[in-house]
Amino acid sequence: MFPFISNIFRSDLPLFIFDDIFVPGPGMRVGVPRPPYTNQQYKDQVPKPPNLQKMQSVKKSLGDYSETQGQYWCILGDMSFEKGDYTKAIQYYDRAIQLTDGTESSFFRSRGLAYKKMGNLDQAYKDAIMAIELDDKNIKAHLLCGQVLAERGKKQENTHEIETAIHRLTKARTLCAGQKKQYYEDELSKYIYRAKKLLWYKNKELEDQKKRQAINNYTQYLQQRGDLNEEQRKNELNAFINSIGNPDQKQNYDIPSYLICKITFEMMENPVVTDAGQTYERDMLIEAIQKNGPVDPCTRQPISGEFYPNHNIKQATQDFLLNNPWAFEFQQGENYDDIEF
Amino acid sequence: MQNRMAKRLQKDLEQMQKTYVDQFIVKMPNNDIKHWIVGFEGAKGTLYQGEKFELQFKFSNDYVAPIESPEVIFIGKPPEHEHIYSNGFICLSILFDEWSAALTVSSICLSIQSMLSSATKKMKPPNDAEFVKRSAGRGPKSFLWSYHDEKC
Repeated sequence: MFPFISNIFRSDLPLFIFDDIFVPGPGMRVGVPRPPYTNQQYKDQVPKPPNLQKMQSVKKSLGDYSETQGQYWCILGDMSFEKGDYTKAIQYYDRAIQLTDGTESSFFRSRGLAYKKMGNLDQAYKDAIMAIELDDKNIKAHLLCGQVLAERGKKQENTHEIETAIHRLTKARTLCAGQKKQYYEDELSKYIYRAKKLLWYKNKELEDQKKRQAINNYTQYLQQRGDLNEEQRKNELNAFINSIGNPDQKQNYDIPSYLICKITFEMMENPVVTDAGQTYERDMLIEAIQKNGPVDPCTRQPISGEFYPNHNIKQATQDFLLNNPWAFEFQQGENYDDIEF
Repeated sequence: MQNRMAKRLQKDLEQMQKTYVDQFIVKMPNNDIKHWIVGFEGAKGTLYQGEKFELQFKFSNDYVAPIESPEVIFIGKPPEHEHIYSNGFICLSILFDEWSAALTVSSICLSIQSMLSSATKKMKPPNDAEFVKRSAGRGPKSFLWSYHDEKC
């Protein structure tokens, strides 16, 4: 064939001219309509999903129901809940549950959430379990259960509850795809990462406790041995501490700089790469461009205002979080009690 | 939003204390994260060697992840420099038009320090007296600055 033959297959040329000469074979892409690749999907993605915390059951006005229906009282409860009057909300939800003979899963979940807000975690847990038993596919009930368990797990001496919490939250996230509610997935992932972080901190704490105990025991044992002098005891103890790892040693919390956005100084959720080859958090980059014009914030190079998702960095971030759960929303000197659920 | 700003400033502070601990001294009067005072010394081997200066940083509420530039002035006795007015205002492009979101407090401090270091003679800006009179009671960000010197 001629060297320029590939030009003939350009989709913008009228192909019918060659119809009787060329019969396109398999694997030849001829005139396939291909949408031009645009950044539109990244610029204005789906409208922001409603906040999961505030989102109550489907909003309907009171007029749609009569006083003998549970929904009527549930809506009243939701209204009180939004105002922050949780005691009253619980009373309304009680009424709603009574009227439906405890068959409606979402009422239990709502009451559980109100209990959780009041700090009554045991009641909240009971309600969440009840809601899951009534409807196994209730995403919000699974989420509530996970949150309550994680919250309770903070004060426990073991990690069972936190592990169950991670299990529940993961279940909630898997349910999303089946119910066409993918917009919850991001927020649920956040809670899963937080729970994993909590688990990591808890495990570390328990491990350190054990190590301290062991070191104490060993010190006592060394004191009882008469055949050693002070120097030898010290060496023995140091060797022992080295072999199990020193619990008082400061953990090195370092996040590699290539995973950190230069604008927010945090790890990136939606890394995008600009024309200058720099990677930033998407929302922040949009804000920066709006304010300072289409210039790359780091290099000051003019850019076209179009950018592309950087999947490799996203993958690297996820891999890093897998081995270092503490790095999610990390702040220097933080305490695991402050992790919000 | 408020929270995000505090987080970013906190990270900035950490970085500053980690990397430039003996170069810049950060103080926060009234424990307000939006108001910093950074003390530093003129670099060795320059005209300002041994002199002590203090920079004041004020972050506006729009500093939600540094989209808006902070307000930076010298307090106390400002150095005698061609681009620094005697009321402490600084004529430096990165503080106004060429602000970029990737700039941090430490990078601003470093640029100001290097601006001082590159000076060849101590002199006040030509229109100093007139400008100081005009700017009484106004912030530096309310002016349209023009930058005469390409080098800084």
